[in-house]
Amino acid sequence: MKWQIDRRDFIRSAAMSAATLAATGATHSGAQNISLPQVDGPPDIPDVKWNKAPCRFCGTGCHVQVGVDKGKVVAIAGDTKAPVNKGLLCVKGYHVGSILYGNDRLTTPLLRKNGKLQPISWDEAINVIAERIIKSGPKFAIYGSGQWTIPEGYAAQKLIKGGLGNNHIDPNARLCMASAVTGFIGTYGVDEPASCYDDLDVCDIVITWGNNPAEMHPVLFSRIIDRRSQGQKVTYIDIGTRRTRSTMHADHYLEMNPQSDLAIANCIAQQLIASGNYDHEFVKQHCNFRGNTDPVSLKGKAISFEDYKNDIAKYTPEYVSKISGLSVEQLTLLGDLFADPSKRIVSLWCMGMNQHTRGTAINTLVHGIHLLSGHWGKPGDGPQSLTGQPSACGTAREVGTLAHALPGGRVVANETHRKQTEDIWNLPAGRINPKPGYHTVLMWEKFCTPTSEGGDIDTIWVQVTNPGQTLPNLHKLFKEKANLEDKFLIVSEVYPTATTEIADLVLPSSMWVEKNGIYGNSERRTQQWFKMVDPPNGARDDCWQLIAVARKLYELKHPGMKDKDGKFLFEMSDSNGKPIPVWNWENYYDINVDQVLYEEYRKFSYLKHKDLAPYDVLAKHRGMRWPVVQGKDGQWHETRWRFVRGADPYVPDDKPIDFYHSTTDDGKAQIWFHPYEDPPEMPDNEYPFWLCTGRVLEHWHSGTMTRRVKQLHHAMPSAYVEVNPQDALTLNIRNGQIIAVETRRGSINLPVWINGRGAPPQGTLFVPFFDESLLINDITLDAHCPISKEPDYKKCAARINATPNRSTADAS
Amino acid sequence: MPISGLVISIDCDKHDRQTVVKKIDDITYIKLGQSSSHRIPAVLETPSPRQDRQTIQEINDIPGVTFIDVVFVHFDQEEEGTQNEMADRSA
Repeated sequence: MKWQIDRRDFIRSAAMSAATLAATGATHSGAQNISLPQVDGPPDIPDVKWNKAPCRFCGTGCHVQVGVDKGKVVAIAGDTKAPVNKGLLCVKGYHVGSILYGNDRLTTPLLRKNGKLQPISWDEAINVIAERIIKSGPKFAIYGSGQWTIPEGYAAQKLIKGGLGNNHIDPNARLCMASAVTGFIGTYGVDEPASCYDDLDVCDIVITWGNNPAEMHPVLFSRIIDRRSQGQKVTYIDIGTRRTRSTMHADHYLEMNPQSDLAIANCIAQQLIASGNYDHEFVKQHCNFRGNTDPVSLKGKAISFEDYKNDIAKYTPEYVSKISGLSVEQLTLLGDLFADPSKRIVSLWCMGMNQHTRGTAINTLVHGIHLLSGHWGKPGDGPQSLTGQPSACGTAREVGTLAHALPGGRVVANETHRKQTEDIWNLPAGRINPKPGYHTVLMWEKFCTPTSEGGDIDTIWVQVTNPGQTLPNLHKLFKEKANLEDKFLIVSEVYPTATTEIADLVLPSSMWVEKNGIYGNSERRTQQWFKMVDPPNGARDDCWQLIAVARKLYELKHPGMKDKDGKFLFEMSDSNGKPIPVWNWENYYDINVDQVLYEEYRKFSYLKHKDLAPYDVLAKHRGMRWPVVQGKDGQWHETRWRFVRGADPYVPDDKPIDFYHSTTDDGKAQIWFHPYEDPPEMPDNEYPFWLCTGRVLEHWHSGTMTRRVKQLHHAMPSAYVEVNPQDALTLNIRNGQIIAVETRRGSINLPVWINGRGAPPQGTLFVPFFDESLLINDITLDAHCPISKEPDYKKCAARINATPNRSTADAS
Repeated sequence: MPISGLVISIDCDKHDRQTVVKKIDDITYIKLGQSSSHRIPAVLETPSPRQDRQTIQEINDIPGVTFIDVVFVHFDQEEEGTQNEMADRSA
């Protein structure tokens, strides 16, 4: 008992030390000028061993210190040495350790027999998958996510594209940031932000475009709020379709009509051109102009400045006011801010611009107004997209686990790229299939279509994601599978989910610090961690599962599992050259498989100036931002701003800015014109409301992890529909009343929250998607951007019925 | 009984720091640390997760409190077997 009291005193003391350290030293904005208190590590608690890891949740990339005692995670502290969060965490990060300990962890492979999932051995499970892959051939697909670690995503890529000659692999990141990818590529010729979080510490103005960082990226948002608390002037402009917690901090809230962000961006450009206040020299030296082709394409066509000027001319504040609902004064405010070269402006966006049927267009337009105005490439001055997943950038985008891509910015349709990849993988020429595979929506549509009717995907292996909850229009893209006997769904998971519910084979997986890992965050920061605790007995690493299946295929004489010298694709040796059978679980940790895969993958990173640091160097850092290059001093240096002389090592001394992956091969970026177009579905007499979906602070995505953390679950136990007070009055509905929300795709019963966490304008509904018992994606739209193929979860037409629909699940 | 380390940010421009700190200090389960800046270190120790949530909300509701960052958490022994309150979907 005495020991327990002492120990709790220790813990209290440790909690206060951590808080005091963060409060006194680790402020974000002052970080460059403040000498942080020197501490060697996290709080000192008897018997607790600490180690670093990035947080498991969003794309911010906060680092935590994980405290382990007796083989269990017992404490979490913000990592004061981490540049991203400097010791701070949000409410999810603070509870991240508890996600390992839900009491329904999956621990046994389960195979559906006679309609029920029955326990089977790992050997049988691996054998079932291998035989199914052989049987399916080109009808096999892998569906992963931005939660795959880099080595996991790389292993999946190598297995399917290098081994099976099949490109049907896509990540859930297609539903999340594909439009950001095409926006970057369309503008700069290469993916991912040129800027970094440091901009938030020095900018004068922050504009969020359909973004709610106070809830979705709270630690980043606290960098802005913290500066204000210190008396610094930071103007915050929130452009959105509903008031959120971020809006509470805004100097200007600009409530726009859904989809009208396209018109608003064009209006800013129109004002810059009409007034002559664009940055003439920047545009002349560094920019070209680009317009649409018919049909639209990622490269578009070259247009002249005069063409651009004519195209943009009609987007006057008066004209756009009618489309957007913003006042002329609000639109002029934006135009004037971008016209002022003395101000430093950061644009932030996430799902509002990405989950958009014109996602590529709006992404390129926002880059375009920064380029046109010269608000680009200076600290505190530039566009920055945020990601929702911890390794959407590192794995989905850089490893390229997309249906058209190969690692390191390569694409399957390019012969040279295929050859480069085959060389690194030591494959015979022609092994890699030149035809892109199915993107997410098409993959699942094919899976849910009878084979006799052209449904030519019959087996999907899902890892680290929950499509049974997160795909749009679930009846069409997921649930129909239950009626198709020849379709086979394999799911690697840590907990039962909406996806495992109809799976044919379920594999129990390790998660987060139960395995080694590497993530890449939203600012190009690659972050490594070591395994700290064992997974529950029976659960195994996703990467091991992929390698074990590959080995089984090798044993079954699948020709793709050998390289051109006849060696197994995932042959690995220890430091003495002794082969290690890593496909046997008992040998998997005899060597560091992550390190082997990462060092092989790292060769790809040099092919597009995304140079990654060696594994051993990463292990000593709280992440490094690529390109990471070794200096003459032997040290490895990260890059804060790309394409800018002095900051980016690949920009020559004689150029202040060099877009060295320009799609026009002249070192210039592209300023695009895209017209405003109505969304595919808008409110009408039958369905008079806009329906928007999204996330909440307490839960991360589909809630499979955060809903198992008691504190988070109690804080936000179930989904709801936000309704405007005037609409509630008109329809005579009250807080807590169960109503039916209906779209052309179905109906769902939800409790009403008048105004709710946010405050929707009249005629708008908002529903979060974290609740697996109230699947809002049953009724969302699967229409998607024609270029990025990313669906629009943010706007479709809906109606509400005060009488709940009896045929749908009870929401009470 | 979880123990957390918090950093509570105060808007000192628009609110009197002392008044805000006093209001926070009056809340049960909170122990404030030493600070003369806009960021106040604190330890939160509550008897239940529900109280934990309510207390954080109570702090958040005080005029002048702009943000609460959580920088440390310790999971108590009885917290380890987190209950899953979702529907049992056993096969």
